[in-house]
Amino acid sequence: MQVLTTAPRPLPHRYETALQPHLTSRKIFPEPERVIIASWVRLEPTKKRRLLVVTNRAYYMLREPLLQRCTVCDPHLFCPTGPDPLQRFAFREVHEIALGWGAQPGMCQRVQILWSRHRVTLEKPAKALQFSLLPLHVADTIAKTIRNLNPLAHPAPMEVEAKTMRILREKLLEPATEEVRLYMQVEKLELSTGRVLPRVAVISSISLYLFIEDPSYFMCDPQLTAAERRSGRRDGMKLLQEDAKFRWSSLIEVDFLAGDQAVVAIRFQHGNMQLRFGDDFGLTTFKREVRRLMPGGVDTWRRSFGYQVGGHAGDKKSGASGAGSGADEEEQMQEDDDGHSDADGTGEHDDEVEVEEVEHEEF
Amino acid sequence: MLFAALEVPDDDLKVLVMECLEEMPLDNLQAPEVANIVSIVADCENLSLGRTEEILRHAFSIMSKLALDDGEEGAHFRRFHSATIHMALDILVRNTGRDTRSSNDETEEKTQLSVGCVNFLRAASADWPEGSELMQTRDAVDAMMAIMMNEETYGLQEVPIRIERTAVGSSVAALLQVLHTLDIKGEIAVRVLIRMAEVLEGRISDEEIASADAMEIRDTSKDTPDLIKQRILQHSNFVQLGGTSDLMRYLRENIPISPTMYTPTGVSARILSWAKKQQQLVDQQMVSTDEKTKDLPDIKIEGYEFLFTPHLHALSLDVASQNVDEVLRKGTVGAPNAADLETTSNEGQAVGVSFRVLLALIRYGTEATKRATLDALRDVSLLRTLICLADDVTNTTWYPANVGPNLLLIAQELIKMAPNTLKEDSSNVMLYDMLTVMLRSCMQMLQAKINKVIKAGLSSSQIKPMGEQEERLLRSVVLTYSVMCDTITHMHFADDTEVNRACKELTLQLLLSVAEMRELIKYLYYENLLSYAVWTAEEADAAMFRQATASSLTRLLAEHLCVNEDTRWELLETFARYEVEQKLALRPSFMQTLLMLVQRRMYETALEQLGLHASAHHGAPSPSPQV
Repeated sequence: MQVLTTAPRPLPHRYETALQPHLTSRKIFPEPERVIIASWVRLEPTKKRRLLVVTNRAYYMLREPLLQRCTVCDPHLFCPTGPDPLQRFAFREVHEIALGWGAQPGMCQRVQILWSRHRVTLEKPAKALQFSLLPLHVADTIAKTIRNLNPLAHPAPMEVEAKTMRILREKLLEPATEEVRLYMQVEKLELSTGRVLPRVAVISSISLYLFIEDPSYFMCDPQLTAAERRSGRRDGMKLLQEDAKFRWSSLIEVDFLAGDQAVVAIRFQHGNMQLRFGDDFGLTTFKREVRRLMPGGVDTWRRSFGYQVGGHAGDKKSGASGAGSGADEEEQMQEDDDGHSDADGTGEHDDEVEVEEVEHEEF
Repeated sequence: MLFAALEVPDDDLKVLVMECLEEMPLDNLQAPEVANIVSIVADCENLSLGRTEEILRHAFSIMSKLALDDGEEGAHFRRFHSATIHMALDILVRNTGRDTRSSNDETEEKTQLSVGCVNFLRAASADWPEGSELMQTRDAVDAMMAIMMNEETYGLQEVPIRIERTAVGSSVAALLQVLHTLDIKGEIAVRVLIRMAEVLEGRISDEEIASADAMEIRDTSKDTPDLIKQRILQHSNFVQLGGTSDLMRYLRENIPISPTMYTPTGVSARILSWAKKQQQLVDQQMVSTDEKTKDLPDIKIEGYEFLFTPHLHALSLDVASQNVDEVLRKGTVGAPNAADLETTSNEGQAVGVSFRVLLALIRYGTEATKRATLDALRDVSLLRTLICLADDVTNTTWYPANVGPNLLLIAQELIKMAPNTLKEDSSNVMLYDMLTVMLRSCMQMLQAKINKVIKAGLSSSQIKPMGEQEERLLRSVVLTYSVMCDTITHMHFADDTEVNRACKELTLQLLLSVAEMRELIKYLYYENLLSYAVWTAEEADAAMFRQATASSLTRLLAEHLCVNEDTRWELLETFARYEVEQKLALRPSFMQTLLMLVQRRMYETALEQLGLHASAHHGAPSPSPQV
């Protein structure tokens, strides 16, 4: 079967042909832009979800359309309508960029951009655009791109803020000796209620901490002395509030759940928890840091996927436990089963927890 | 009295006097006494006579102290005795020109004097502007050239006379001039090239020079304005003198390279020709008034039928050219043995350091010098020369002395798109064509090692990860592919949108084929295996490095899956194939992350069509109150 695809076109008008390059050269037509990075972020402290788009010309903030999204079409088809642009920001307006502290390079999950269209004075301070997101290597990429595209000879300074580290030091069990290895925003899955709670997981050389974060205190100085507290300024110490802590010496089991989401279940002698990460890179980083603390290997290290690897043959301490050691662990688990471990040894806990959809599945 | 004793014609006494003077505080030296010491150096005619070398060595030692002294004596010396610079250079030329190989004692004395001279010149280079200026005159450069030639002929390899570390060698112009007189097989050519890299990187202190790692980017934020100015000046000089082509000419003249290896395979020419033809057809269609007919589009959903065909799940069924075992076999047969790896020669080191010089030019100069260097390198024959040189000096193993990784870093800068540009010129495909030949060669070499680890993992035997340099090479390969994929996405082949998209897909299929992606995917299994298997505390850094490589590879795959719709399912099928046939698996959450990244890239691409600029200005509501 043959179909007609191209109708005869009228010859373009001479005047129109001449006008088009003229208008393009006069920049009257908006130029097309190349999207370098785009990501849904959580604005702070309002917690609103916005789409931040960085192009080669400017960066934009967009919001979800008011109409309900089509559930049949892929998100990139923008059916029935795409996100609504809210604001356009020029790169040259950026005054300062602060990256959230992550205890390691490239672990930033929060960014604060100070921008202003005018000269910054005490009366007219720079406005703050602060956002965070769970997947790794996105927030810092956004910040770096914005900085690199700044056309000024001396672009805005970009530094990793150090106040969080000072605040965290005050909250540690043994601040003098404890070394902080990881500071990462995660989601805590509450098994009893099925709720998902935003938390900060901190791995130190002796403990695992979970903190509740109040991002409105980001970049506030901690008021440590009595005189400072009397000053009436906002106390940065309120950024972190302890939720739970466990010593690594009481670790029983670390279980990597075989599901689509990056979830790890950790059991300690006095409690257990499930943590969900922004993406698999977060889980891998968490796993690596836990592993670094136990160079001899984790006897109760479980994974329910992939091939069986014993590391050094016959060496129980050498890390990954395969099916053989898995059987011993199952016995041990059944002995002190508290209802959360999996009896079939597959490691799939997904049926037990009804958690909310992953936020970044928006794409 | 001590100076009166110097008049006595007894060398032993003179040496004793000089030793006493060396121990004496500088405050005690009066101006005539300093002049007396300088005259010892100036009046010396025969260096080999008696213990003259020792006397001169002590004299230079005292003068070094004076050159660095902050007091009145030092200032006086620097003001009135700048001629000592030329004296030292003259003595150094004469001393290095002596053939003392027949006598060990003479050789020892000669070396001591040369080292003393160089130490004085280094001291004079530190904080003596007039001294530094004198060392950058034509006479001084000629002297350095003569010293290096003498050293090449009569010198000791164990005790190098590092004249290039003085102010004479702090100018790239002088170093470039000297380089052409040196034999590439000797050590001095390598030293000159290293110095050139140090000058361009802005490394001044001995500590910085000792701890230099070309793979790490030096932090220049702590440099003083003077140092920055000096560094930028050297970059400008290098570019103005045509240093890049000069350096390449030196390498090409001294190292023979194959005339046929790493030439463009013709793929790029085919792509460009196809794009032109398709665009012509579209243009003809647009101006024509005839009715045109076209076949109905294929209604099959591309990819799905391939995913669910029986051959995927039939373990014993071998599908020609689609079975990953084919790739495995190819990798093991052609790959060189680990025992073939050898340390590089001086030629190899020279090539490695030349790459470091080019990297320094790209990294530490201004935008203008960087652009000039890249423009000089963005030449098909020059890039081919670079690849051939790297291949030649490493015996196609690429990683020794980080030659391959350094070259790939340069290549990444060459093909990387500026962030503020919208489109990339399609003529760069020629460069990609050659680079892919090199990348395939690198992967072929690394493939055998990855396979070995995976095989050992499957049989639960001892696992030995790749070496640090090999890991670096693999990371560079992944990053180069990644930059290439990203640039092809924004390449402008034709004006027509459909033709442009078809050209991009064709380019990806020919340059970053599925077979190559399959080879790269194996690294994910390798990394996953090692991250759960053998572990000690010392391996933490290596694990972090592997993880970063896996992360880069994931982004590359996401980009490839996003851009090339035709091969999307074929590539995803690879993961299923490994799982079914070889019992290899990755975390389901990893696969989910990969798919999420693909979706994000598709979303970002779709956003470009949204017309952000126009809608933000005309159609958007007032700015959000929370911002």
